[in-house]
Amino acid sequence: MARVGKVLAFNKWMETILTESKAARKARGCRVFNLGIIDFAEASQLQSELIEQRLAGKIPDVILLLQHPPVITIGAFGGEQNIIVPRDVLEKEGISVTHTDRGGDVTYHGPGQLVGYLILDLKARGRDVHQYVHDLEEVVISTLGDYSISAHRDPDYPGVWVGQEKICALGIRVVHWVTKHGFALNVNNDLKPFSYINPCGITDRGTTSMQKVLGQEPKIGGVTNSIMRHFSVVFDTNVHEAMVL
Amino acid sequence: MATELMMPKLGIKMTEGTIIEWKKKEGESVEKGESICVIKAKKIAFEVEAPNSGILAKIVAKEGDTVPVGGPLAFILQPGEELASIPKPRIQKREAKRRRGSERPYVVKCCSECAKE
Repeated sequence: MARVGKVLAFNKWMETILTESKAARKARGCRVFNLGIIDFAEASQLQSELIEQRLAGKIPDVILLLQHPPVITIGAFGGEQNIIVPRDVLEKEGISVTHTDRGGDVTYHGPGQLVGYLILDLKARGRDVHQYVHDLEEVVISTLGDYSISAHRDPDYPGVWVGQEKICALGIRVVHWVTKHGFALNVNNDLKPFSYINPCGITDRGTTSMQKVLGQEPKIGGVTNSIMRHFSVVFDTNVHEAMVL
Repeated sequence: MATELMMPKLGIKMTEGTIIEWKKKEGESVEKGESICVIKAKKIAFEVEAPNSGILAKIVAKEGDTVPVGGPLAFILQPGEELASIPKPRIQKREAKRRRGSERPYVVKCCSECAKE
């Protein structure tokens, strides 16, 4: 029921935004949706709808902030060989496996991990996908800075790292210069499922979370607010929270 | 006119990209703006659009191939055109020109005297 309610509320938003005046749309800037925990397939469907509308110029830039039920996803550059445990182990743990069209290899999503899907038109932002990745990493690094976590980029591996351990994965697709997918920041999720895969095809590095680094559990709501604030600064745009569920 | 599909430059720092997938086969017709292949640059999957409508006549970069920015990926022909009529890839000339250009020393001119030095 809750999931149906989310999609309904989302569709209602789409209706109102389509009738919004141009001035109002510009003033509000980028829209953020907090979708809570939502199924991977359902979120993919929402993204596809948003991209269609964004390509048609009917909606502004949009960010979906959400969490997924446990799922291992295989990106466009990945293969099943990077899932290193038998499928029945995953089944027993309630982890589903799915293919997706984002860039990158294999990764895991689960409750407690903050996922951000960004539908941004890069035509209005200089048509530079590397700059986009750099800026997205900057938002995450600044957010972690708010929690006194010193994080960095790695020239060899995309994503955001704390020491030799990855704290935030990136996976992006660009369709006609509109971005799809985004980042997955480990806040307080269970890290054990990462041992079932070679995350992003990398075998010699570990995975960490904000909780593991801090030794205490950060509130995901606070992290969300921090992400929005830094996004607004780094991407130089207003951020309007459109829906809280 | 035959159109050359080139490896796009997706950012200032991009020097090359890898073909991940062809969404169209040789001989299929394509429409301008339609996604015809997917390339990988760093962690990004980028859908390359057809620069023109026509027939995807020849794919020169196969899936898995890494191609420098501006390098040829495929040729799109108009009905009635033949592969033999494809011009030599323009990129080679342009690349050569760019290289020559970059070898030239950079001279800051403030007046005719300085420029001579």
